Amino acid sequence: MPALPILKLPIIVLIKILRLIDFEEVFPISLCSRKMFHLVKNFRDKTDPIRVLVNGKESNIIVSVPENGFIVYVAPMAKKYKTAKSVNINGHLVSIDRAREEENWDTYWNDEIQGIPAVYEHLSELLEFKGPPEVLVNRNTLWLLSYIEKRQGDNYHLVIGDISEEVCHFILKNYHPQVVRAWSLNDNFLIAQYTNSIESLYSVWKLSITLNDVLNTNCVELILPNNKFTESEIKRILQHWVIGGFKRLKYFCLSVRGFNMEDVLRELNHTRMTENREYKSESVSPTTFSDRDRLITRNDDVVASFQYNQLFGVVHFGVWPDSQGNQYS
Amino acid sequence: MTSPASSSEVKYLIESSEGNTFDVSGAALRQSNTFNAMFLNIGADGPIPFTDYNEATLKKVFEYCEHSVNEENYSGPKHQDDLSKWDLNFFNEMDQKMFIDVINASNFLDIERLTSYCCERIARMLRGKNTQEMIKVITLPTAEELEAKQKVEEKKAAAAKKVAEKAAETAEKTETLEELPVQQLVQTTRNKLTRKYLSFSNE
Repeated sequence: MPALPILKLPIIVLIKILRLIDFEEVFPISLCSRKMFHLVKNFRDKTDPIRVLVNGKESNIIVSVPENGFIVYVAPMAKKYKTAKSVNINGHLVSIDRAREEENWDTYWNDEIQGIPAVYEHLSELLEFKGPPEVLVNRNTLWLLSYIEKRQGDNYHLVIGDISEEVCHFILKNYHPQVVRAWSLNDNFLIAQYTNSIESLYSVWKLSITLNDVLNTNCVELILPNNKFTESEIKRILQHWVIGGFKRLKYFCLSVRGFNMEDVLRELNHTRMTENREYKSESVSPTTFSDRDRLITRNDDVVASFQYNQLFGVVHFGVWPDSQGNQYS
Repeated sequence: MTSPASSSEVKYLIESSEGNTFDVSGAALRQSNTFNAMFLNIGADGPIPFTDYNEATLKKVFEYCEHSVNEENYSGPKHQDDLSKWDLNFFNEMDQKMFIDVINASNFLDIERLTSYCCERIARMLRGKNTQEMIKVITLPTAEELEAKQKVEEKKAAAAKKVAEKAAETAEKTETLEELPVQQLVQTTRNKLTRKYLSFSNE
């Protein structure tokens, strides 16, 4: 292995090298020394947005950009790993090994509880991710939610997956995530009682939620692609918005059955959109509204785009301006 | 500088750190933004001194420039997998020292294509390596070495502190001695001498 003292190269060359380093190499190179940490932090390629999942269930942190990513596993120290080489992660001397999947890392901790926060702090300082982290916990790792809330208040996404109803109620009563993403949840789980405090609810699972629950929600975003609503129910929801209901609602995506766009919009003040516009929501990927979609105007002149996607049987509704302040003009 | 009719055939004399000179075509030299900024418009009387770099390095750099004269304009770093056989040979036949010298010279001459390929090559060398291997490649001390170094430094600092404290103590004593009135000092010295004399006479 040839040695290349890259720190002795001119800084312009070093910056070029650091910009060319693959995203999955950023973590191991940051552990080389404090100086490398700061060089990588300042000069790595920062064009791609970063997503972070703190996974208390699998005891790891997943960091990804659109086409790349890596996982840092936090495992208890076992005898056989004591001889492994150590690195300094946020002040802890930790054994580290490349995981079976090449781009991932196994770290071994004497105190596992310190592991995830230490790795998270290291990555947060290194990558300076702007977006809120997603947090997945189980019964044994609820402490992670306390850590995250202490660190950044309610600015995180709670991912609910494979936990008991009792634990789920406990979490939603005691913690306050801005966004709740339900990957799996009991069909009968009464989510409606929490939709006043949750800002965004996104469930890939069918939830126990009625039209009345929706009309009484205080959510900013409601994404329920597996809850079927009838044409008249959608009409009712839109009418409720037009007369000033849903004080905070900005975006919804709901599943529909037996849907006719014209019938739904008949009594509403609407026009056809004149151009394609991308609508950015807080919790899901952007929706592109096109000139086939409609623009509904509320009594106070606020406008919202409305789309029926026949292929997937869902409707999208976005109130302008979107989550990034983009206006419809 | 020689100057034949066609500008592409213009040859420039380059001077290396050893004081040796050699020819490089104008077309090849124009890949260097440093050259363009310094000499392109005003020309050069006599050899152009690039005397921070040795002849072997400069010849290697301009070998690359001569080869890529006819390549299309540079448009961002090329993936190493897309490099031609010639490019690969060019890089593979360099040892580590020459490679570093070429990067430095290429950076100074601001030859964007060559510098970028070199950088991409280094980034690629780090690919798939763990931290320890990276530390070896970029020749940094390991965490254990840093910790050991820190311990040695702490020990040194503690020892230095002890010495300083002792010195301060001695200084204090000296000061006390200096502060003694002259009469007392004379008396103390006399007593010492008397004791010494008595012990000597007893023998």
